[in-house]
Amino acid sequence: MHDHPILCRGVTKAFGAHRVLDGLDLAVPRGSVFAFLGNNGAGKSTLIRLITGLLAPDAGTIAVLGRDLRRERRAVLSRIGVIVDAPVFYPNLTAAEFLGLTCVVKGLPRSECARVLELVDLAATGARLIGRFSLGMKQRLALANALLGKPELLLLDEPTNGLDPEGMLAMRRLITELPARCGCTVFVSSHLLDEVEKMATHVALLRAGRIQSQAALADLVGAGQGELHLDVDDAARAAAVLDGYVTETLGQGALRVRDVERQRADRVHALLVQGGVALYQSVHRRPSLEQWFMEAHRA
Amino acid sequence: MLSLLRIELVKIRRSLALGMLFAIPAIVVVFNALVLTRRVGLAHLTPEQVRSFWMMNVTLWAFFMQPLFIALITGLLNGQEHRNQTWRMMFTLPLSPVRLYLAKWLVAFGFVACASALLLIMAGGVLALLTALGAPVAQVWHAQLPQLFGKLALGCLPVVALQHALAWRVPNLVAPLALGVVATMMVTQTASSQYWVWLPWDYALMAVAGSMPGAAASALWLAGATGIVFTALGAAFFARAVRA
Repeated sequence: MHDHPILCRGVTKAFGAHRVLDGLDLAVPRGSVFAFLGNNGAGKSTLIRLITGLLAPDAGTIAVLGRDLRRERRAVLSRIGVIVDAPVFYPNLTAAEFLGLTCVVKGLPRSECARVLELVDLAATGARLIGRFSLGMKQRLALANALLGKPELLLLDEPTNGLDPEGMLAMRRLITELPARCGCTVFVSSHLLDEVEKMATHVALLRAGRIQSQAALADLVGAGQGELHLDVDDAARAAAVLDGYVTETLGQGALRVRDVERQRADRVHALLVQGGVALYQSVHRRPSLEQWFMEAHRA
Repeated sequence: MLSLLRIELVKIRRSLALGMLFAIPAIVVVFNALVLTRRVGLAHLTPEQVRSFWMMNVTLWAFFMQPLFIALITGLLNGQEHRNQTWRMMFTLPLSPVRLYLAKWLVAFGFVACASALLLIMAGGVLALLTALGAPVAQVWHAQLPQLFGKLALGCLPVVALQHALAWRVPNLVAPLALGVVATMMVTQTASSQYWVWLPWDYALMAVAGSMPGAAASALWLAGATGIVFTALGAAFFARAVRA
């Protein structure tokens, strides 16, 4: 059994003069919900296309489930489920007929269709053609198609794109439960930090064609210090009083104090009071993925 | 390969291609039936005119409608993948692009063969209807029908191969239709000349209605050989060339 369902070494891909991926190294831990972050155009979809064999790298190696993708493409593809870019369908087919296509190619029993439709709550669609599905239903159908055959690895490219809040919640819950429920590893590419923070166990930041940072989410945002958001009468005077802290003035009466643990907030409050600053409200916030992302970008 | 054929047949459910399979041969037969009955009237039909009715259908189909039908069907069968962008779904499944190419080719050829068969069946059906309406039609079955069907099917092999390669590679319907129309127009010039051997769109017509000595047999040999070669080349060079 391989520890890393996806292992990339020195992967490079250019389109003409534009080098999208430049010597990328990536190791995705088994059983994780691994979120791959980056701005639009950073190369997230390109990497998923490389991992699925839709594109070939200009340099480097990609091992999926312990196998060389170039030499054992069909063996790899039979054990993974994929959503690349926006979900695609044949609008003249029903959900069961569409899933049946994948079942036939992968040699799966027809009962698999009913199982995955039940999993994504589309069992009641019956004879309705896919062309009449809502966007949320199509996203769930794409996920159902990827889940056929209980794949060891799921590759999901922006799975919550275009969904309403209820749809995003449902998709997120499904993705979060998959490793425990189906024993698979989930590789998700996204630019929605809030969504990623709620479902991922590991994150990697793609920038300038390489992985700039990669870590377990708990290490990034759980153990770190938070920040205090203060509502005061004079933010400039408060910043001067809190000389030993990293502060940021957000407005006339709003101040952010970085790198403060919750248990140490009372010291900040005491300094303000001693300095004659009126404190109206103090809120402690844990570090967020967004914070990490922005700091990583600044670095 | 059988599994790929199965999925290709599922994809055509409720599709325009399936509708065209019945509509286009029907249009040819109904058109010729109207021409026949308007010209001579039901009561005055002779065996010669009935025979000519068969040849009108077969010749019109081989010369004009079958090449356009091939362009349309290959365009539709491949076009659904281009239009729905489902290539990227297909190529993330554990299948061989070459086998998929050949499976689609087989389905396209099957469509054309079925359309030819339907044409002949419908023509027989029209004659049976005319008989029921009082026309003196001695027999509705043409003795050479199986032979005609075989010639139509074999004669179109290279055209199916060429149109399928183009429709697979180019993501729009215009290019294959344009090729079909232009090549069909060229047949009007080449069919009665020695240059027919150079245009695959002539082979089906020459096989069923070629008047030059030895033309029919030559057309069939050329169609079979070039059909196999073009299909193999298409699979070798184009199967992996589609942008998913």
